Amino acid sequence: MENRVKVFELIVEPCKHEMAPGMVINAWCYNGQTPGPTIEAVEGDRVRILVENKLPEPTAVHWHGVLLPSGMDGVGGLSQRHIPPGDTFAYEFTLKQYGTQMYHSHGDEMVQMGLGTMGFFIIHPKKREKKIDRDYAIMLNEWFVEPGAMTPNPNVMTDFNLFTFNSRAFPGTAPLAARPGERVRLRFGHVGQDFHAIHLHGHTFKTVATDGGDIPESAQWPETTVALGPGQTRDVEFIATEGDWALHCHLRHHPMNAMGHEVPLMLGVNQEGVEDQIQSQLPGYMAMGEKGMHEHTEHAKHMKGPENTLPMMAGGGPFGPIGMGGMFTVFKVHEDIPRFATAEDYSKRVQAPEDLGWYKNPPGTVAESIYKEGKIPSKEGVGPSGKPVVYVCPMHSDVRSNKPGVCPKCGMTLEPQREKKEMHHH
Amino acid sequence: MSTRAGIEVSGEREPKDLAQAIRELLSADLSADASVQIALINNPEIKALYAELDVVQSDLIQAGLLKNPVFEAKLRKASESKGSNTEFSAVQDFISILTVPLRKKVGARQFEQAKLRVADGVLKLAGETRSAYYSLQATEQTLSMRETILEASKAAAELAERQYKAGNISALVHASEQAMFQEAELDVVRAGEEEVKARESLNQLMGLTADEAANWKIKPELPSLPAEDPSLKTLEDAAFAQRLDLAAARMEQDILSRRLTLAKLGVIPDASIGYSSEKKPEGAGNEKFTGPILEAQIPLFDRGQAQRMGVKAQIKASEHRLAALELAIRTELKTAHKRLVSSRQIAERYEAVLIPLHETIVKETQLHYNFMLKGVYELLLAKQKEVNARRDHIEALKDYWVALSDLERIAGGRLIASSLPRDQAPEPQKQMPGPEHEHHHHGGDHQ
Repeated sequence: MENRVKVFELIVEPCKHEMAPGMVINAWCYNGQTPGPTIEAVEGDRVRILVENKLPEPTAVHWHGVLLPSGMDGVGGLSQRHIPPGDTFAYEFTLKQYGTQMYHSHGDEMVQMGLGTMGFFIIHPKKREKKIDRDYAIMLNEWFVEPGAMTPNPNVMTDFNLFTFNSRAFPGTAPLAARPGERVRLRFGHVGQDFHAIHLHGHTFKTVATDGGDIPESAQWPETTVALGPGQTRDVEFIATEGDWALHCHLRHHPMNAMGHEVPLMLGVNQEGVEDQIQSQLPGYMAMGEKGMHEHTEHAKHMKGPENTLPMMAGGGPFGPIGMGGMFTVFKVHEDIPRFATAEDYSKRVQAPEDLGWYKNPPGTVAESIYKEGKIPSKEGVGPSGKPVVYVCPMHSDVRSNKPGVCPKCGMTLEPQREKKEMHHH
Repeated sequence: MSTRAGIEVSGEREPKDLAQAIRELLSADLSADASVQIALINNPEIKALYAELDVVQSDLIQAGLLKNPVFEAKLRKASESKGSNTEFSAVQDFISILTVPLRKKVGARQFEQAKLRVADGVLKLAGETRSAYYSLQATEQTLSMRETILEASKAAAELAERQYKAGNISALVHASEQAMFQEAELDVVRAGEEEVKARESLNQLMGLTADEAANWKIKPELPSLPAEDPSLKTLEDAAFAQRLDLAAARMEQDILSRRLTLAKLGVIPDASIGYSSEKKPEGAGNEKFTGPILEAQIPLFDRGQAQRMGVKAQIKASEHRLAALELAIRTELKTAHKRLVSSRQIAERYEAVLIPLHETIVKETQLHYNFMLKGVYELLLAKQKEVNARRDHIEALKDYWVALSDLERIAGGRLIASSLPRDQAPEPQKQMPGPEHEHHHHGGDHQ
């Protein structure tokens, strides 16, 4: 703060950024991070933002949604000269509004934004009527990073393979947290290239504000899913309900990490016999995809992929693998969620869903099998995989039948033959 | 161990007859040298030549040719010395020994010509047999690799079939995958044909009966490259020291110049004199004359022509012929040497760089496959490309060994000239072949 002016400093430069443990990309950042640091001020403040350009090319910063003088708007060539590499420009204006706004590069946007130059610019009202207990901001984005490589390709227009909340991909996304009964505000910002529909489980919320300002209460739109196109921000509010709730984009591919779209479709294709043939030449080969993709959540734990590549489906929960990626995180509402003094404090202490523990479900409120001890009876001699069950004598393996019964040789009860377990080759 | 005219006899039992010698050689995995040995015993055309020159079995035995192995005994000796080309034996020594009894059988005047014909026949046959051997090794390895590729193609085609049955691909894609598999099968058929051709070629050179030809096996892999290549200079030295036709051409000049001297003294030489009157005392003379002969006749041996031409004219013609021969030899050596060096470069690049790159590609594709980033067909294709690279490596190796075999033939039967004592180096005035040939080992340098 200088002379009643809030001064902010942004350095825009190349950096290394971790998408999730196991994947680092060459990004372009503000102050070493993507998204850049959140600029927070109050309606009526005069702000001065110094932007130092350490990129190899000229840049400018646009204050998206902010009402300000034309020459401070930050469009290179139109509002101002582009900031040359090495130079520092000053932006200064008085805030005439409040709401969730954003800032992003406006010089060579395709490349610079494609490499991560964006951030939140949150202007608080002088007085807020309702107290908000937890206030979260999530920046959406899409990337294409060639598997095995490090640099996002900003030339890609529609065929992205990585989708992020605040430039992180699940299981690298931090969870959100609240206590039951608290008022929670989620602010979503988007200056990417794709449409997203962010869905919160377990709650209905109201969209209370857009990038244009507050929505009057009578006009507030109730939803469980908020839709955003590029250039929009949306604030939603709700009262938290206890539980561990998924929060994710509902476009089916977006809560997943990279996968090859040209991979041959093996659904329903049994590879018995052929798998061995292939293994004789390629010892590491394992048949995949016959029964869907769930097996991949197990495979990815012990199979190696290309370096610097996240498995398509990952992450573990209290009941087994979650098998998600990309735009997915967990919103944890427990009684014992701590209070955090600052955003930095939160970021430091909460990085993975398990950091806050798992929700303790009250008895009788967890979906479970109706069969005791997992003994699923066979329906008409059909086993869990759909293959007909063969009943075999435990003593005489040559005695086999399609129906339950007893062995004619020794009188023992025939048992259903255990299905051949797949051997994993490393 | 006793030394019999340059070939060490290590006390191995000598087979009684040709058939037995051949059986023994065929009983183990055939080496290049063994196939050359069989050819030199058994090839019908060389046998015709032996018959013409009255070379009989006992002569072959004397030359150690029926011993198993004959050349490898020499190999062991050669590999102990530095700079050895261990895969190559001294066919030249065999020729030298073989031609010893010739002296007694053919007339003195025909002796040189006989020697030339033997040397020519033996070196040509040895070179062709060696080339056929390496070609067979290459086609066998190629066939094996095509079969490996076929296995991968078969798996891909089977998967496509199952995809089609499950409704996951169209008839169009299905047909494309099947077509690729069919091509791979035909590649195996073609490779099989090449293999049979190469095998029959070698059978023919070795002169084997149908029974003998049926079951022999060769060493499954081409030998790896030797540490060094002979230099062009070394090869030229060898050729100029060893080639029989060069020596004969020089000898012709020598004789002609003597004749001129006699003519000037008024002495009319006996038409039958030629070479025999120039007998050198026994025991002296240590030169070996070997090498394929030129196509052209050497007038020395044609009495009629010699009488017709004036001696001076004869000397002039002979000078030109010698120059022509030297030029041909130099050119052939340079060309074959370049082929040698190039195929070494190609083979080494495949082994050191290209094949490891393909292995990396297969490995990385597998990693991409694991994460469902690439599909199984891409993985199989990567493997096939790796096998193809290995096949190209084999081709380059084969080219190398065939080139080396050619060089041996052009150099006159031995890639490195034996070290002769200084006073016996080829010179027009002094050099006369003696009635007997003796080989001396000069320490460990004798190649």
